[in-house]
Amino acid sequence: MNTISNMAQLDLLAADVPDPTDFPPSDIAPGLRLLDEALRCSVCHELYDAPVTLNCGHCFCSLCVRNCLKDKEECPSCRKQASDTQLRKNVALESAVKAWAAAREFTLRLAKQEVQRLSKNALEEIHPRKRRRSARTSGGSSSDEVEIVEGPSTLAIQRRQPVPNMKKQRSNKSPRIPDTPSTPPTPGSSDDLIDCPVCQQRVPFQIINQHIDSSCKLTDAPPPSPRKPKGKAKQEWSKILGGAAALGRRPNKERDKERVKSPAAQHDDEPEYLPTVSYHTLKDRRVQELLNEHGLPTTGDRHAWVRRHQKWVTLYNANLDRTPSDRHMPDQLRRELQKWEASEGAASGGGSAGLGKKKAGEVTDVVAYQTAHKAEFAKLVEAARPKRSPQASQTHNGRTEDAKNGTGQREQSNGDVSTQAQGVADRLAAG
Amino acid sequence: MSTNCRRRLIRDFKRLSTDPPGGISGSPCPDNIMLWNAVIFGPADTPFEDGTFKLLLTFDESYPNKPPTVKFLSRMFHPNVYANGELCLDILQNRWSPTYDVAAILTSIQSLLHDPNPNSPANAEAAQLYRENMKEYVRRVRATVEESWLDPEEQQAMNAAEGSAASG
Repeated sequence: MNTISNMAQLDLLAADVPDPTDFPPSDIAPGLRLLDEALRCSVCHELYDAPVTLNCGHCFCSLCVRNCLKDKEECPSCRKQASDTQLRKNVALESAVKAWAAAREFTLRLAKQEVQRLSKNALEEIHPRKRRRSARTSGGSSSDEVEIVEGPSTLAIQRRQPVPNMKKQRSNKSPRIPDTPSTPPTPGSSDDLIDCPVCQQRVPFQIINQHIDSSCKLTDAPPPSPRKPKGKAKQEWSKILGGAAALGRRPNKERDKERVKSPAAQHDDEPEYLPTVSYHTLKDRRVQELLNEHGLPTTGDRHAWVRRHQKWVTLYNANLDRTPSDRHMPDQLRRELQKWEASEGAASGGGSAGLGKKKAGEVTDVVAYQTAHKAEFAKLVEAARPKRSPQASQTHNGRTEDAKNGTGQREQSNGDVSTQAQGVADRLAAG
Repeated sequence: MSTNCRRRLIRDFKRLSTDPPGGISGSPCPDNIMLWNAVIFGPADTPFEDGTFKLLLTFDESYPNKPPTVKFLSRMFHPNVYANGELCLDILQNRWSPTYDVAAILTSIQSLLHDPNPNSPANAEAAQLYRENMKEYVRRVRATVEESWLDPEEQQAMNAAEGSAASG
């Protein structure tokens, strides 16, 4: 990459856009890049925001996949048939992302310290007398690889305090990360209240499952005696099953009631998703009413209303896939809609900015363009030059010195190339 | 400029420069992140071997929901490349997926070079030669390979000379 970077591009790389490549490669920090990548949506490459799963199992940010499905009813990753009715919240992934978002910066710092330590060690191997003492914080171990400057101290602290540690581990079983570690829920006693991971209400631990199954309606139940699980098992089951049958409506199926204004304000009742509207059956006035219902402007023509309402439905429903505590307020959603409209307008209408405005006709004079960007292309050529054995490149031209600049990764595709070459050779022989 | 699109392009660049697939490179123009220059090395053991083919990728706000326009700046002789350098490649049209990034696009084009699809020809002559007269196909491709090493002005001069030779 050192070959491609110039000032402007260094700016781009330094820009505050966190990416898996921030972490050291796997030989220094195994798995960290992969971990960071695994918690990112493959459409926007941000950490998942309201992750949802399709039937095929692939996960995306709710807003990303809803936008994709509007264009094409297939999974963006595997192309299996998909629709927004399949979407299910991935609550476990959401809490993993939340935890990683909190831990990422710290992990990155540790990883970078490790890189520094390794390079320091490498220096010490060359100049063994230099600052040997300072690197040693504990013990007289002679092997440098085993010695980790940061690690032991934090581990030691954790071991010295076994009781809070145990509690913390247990409380992690609840999918939500507790904000206040001072009051960790202890599952052992039935009277304890814990935060519902869905609606954030305090609910007795014993009925948390029924509570969630009932779409967070059931908040109070006579807690059964916790110490006799065996005899009561049958009763428990019939209660759970009966309760689920009576109360187990999925929130998105409750279409009969029309009452959702501020999603975050409602605790006892999960707000409903907005249904998709077949606008062509509606009169102008009805479309305007739809916009009015949500406090949206009715400027522009019918086409603009429909697009505005469609986008609103997408933003609104994607917002419901967030944890209630993370949901955006309607005002914020309206601002997001406004922002989208502004960027849409700039993209479709003839904006005033000359650069990046329109696709076609951007570069008309190919020769002039290449001449103007000659230096850049020269760098790109060197960056792309594949690594290969010296003999191979000598046979074609004299540029062997640079051949080593290329990068690896070619090996897997070599098989394809050679079979392909075989095919070409065969055809050559035939022709 | 939409921040989503911009952030995505910055990430595409980070990925492409940190962990580049072999034989491809690309970077945004210093003054415009929506315009990318790219180079694809002709894959080894194909007629395109050692060619340094230059491309231009033009993004708009809808990226990654919509594909960029991709165009060869270097003259190409390939069944799926039009005379003006535009490509006939399904993933840049109806088979686009928003999960693709610049590295994926360039890798696909690279594999198109060693695996042309003569069934959807953009250059009928190249497609015909590819099917029926491999020797001539290779000769024509090699000419574009050698041309790709030249400076743009030299290329233009060469094309002009060829043009006058053909007409004269």
